Amino acid sequence: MSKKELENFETAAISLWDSLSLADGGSGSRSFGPVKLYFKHISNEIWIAVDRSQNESIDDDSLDWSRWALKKETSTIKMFPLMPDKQVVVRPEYPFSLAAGAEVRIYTRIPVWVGVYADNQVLNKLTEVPTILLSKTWFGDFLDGVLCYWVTTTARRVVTESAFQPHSTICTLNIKNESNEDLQIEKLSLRVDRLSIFENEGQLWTDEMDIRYKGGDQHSEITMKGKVPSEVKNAKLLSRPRNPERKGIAERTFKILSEIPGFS
Amino acid sequence: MYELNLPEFINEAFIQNLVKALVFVGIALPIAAISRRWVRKAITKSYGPHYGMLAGKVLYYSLVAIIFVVFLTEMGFQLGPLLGAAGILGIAIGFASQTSVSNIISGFFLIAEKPFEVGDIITINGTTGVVLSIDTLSVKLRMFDNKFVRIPNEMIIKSVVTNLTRFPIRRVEMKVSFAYKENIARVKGVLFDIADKNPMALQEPKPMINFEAYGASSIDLMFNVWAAKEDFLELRNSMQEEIKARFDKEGIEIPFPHTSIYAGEASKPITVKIERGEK
Repeated sequence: MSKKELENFETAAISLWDSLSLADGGSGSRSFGPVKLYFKHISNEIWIAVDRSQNESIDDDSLDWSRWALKKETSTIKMFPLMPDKQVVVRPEYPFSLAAGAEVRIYTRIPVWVGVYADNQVLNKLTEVPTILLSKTWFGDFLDGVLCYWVTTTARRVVTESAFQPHSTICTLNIKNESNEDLQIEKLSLRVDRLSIFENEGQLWTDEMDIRYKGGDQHSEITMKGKVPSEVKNAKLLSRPRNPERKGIAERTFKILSEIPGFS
Repeated sequence: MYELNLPEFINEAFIQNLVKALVFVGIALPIAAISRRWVRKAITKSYGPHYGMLAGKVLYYSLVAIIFVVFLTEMGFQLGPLLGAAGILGIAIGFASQTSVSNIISGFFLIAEKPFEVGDIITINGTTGVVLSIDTLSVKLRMFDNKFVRIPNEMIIKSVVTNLTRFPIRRVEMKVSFAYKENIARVKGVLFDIADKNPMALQEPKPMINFEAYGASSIDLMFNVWAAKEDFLELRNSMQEEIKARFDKEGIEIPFPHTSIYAGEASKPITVKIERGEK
């Protein structure tokens, strides 16, 4: 089957995250930035293939299909943006320092995962596909720590349309240095599984995150505000957090340059 | 002296007791086995396969001991003299089976010290495999070619054990050789770029390149990249492929051993004969 035939799905996709209707024997596709998902509906089976080649002409046979046999036949595929399935370590391109008592608001882009669901009265999750294959990193020491994804950010102070990407969500961070010392931020570890995703005019946003640094070995306080930044009007909630925030959580968020001796 | 009169001993009451005891054992043993499986599953779910296996074994052997005692009591045996006899017998068996006892005691040390757990990948005396179980006498491994290996506990206590999966991240070490004509800084830049683009290579701890040697035919570097333990093999394989492909693309020569032949001053010059091929 040629790419043109594959494109011939029945739905008129208005938004990237709208449902996709596939009649029995039908097929379709949808692009999320650098990744393209292909779908086929055969009897009670949904076939899904992922292509990252960004090749315009791709044959049906060259795709690596996965099949899901469903309990009940469905013709509706739903897709939702999901935050990455691990913590994300965000590293500013240029390390910056926050003077004692200073407060900044920065915006960072985080690529989303596409959650694919079959919709027959209840949503059956079929698969999750990362729009970008992120590098991994280790947050901790050699004996103990946590595996995270690695994202480099320009840590924008102002969001303009040039920052918008349909496959990324903009995460707003309010960082306040409540300690008596300068805070040298080399990287931030973000529990993105506690963030919701909203959509506004095709752009994805997470809820705001407040981070208060208390200094030294003190744990930083993190609060997910549960709402988009005030400058984003009429945002629609698309996905709830993977793991909702528990109250009173304290996270060791900041990684100061000198914190890991001999880490090489 | 008491003579055992067998027909008198095996009377109706004895047979009744025997049937009762056998029925009890017939019911109790499967229950013990089911309980073992259930406890193992439940503990494994919460605390991992190592503790699951231990809890299952402790429960099972405790239940078997209780069943045995109840069986003997039902049969009308008095346990006091029996335990005394068992003590003497135990000493005799102990002397006769020192290796087994040593293995049992080593097994306790292994469980207490916990150098590895069920599911870990370990290397002992050149044998590498996944730990299937830590038993009373031995540790069972499954090698990667699906061979089954039984290693006595005593041998493990005396040997160097390498646990490959104890820590969550591992370092892939790759020796990279390139021709003398290449610029070392450029090659290093290419290698770091390859690691940066491989999603399985951890960004931190950072990849590291150490100078290894001026080899016979090449400059040798040691390229170290960190990976999550589950990505270790895939990263090692993919990196080697990527290095070869990228070196080919960048025109970086990967040399093979070269031999230069020359004649010393005392020897005659090497005669070179040029033959023209006939058309």
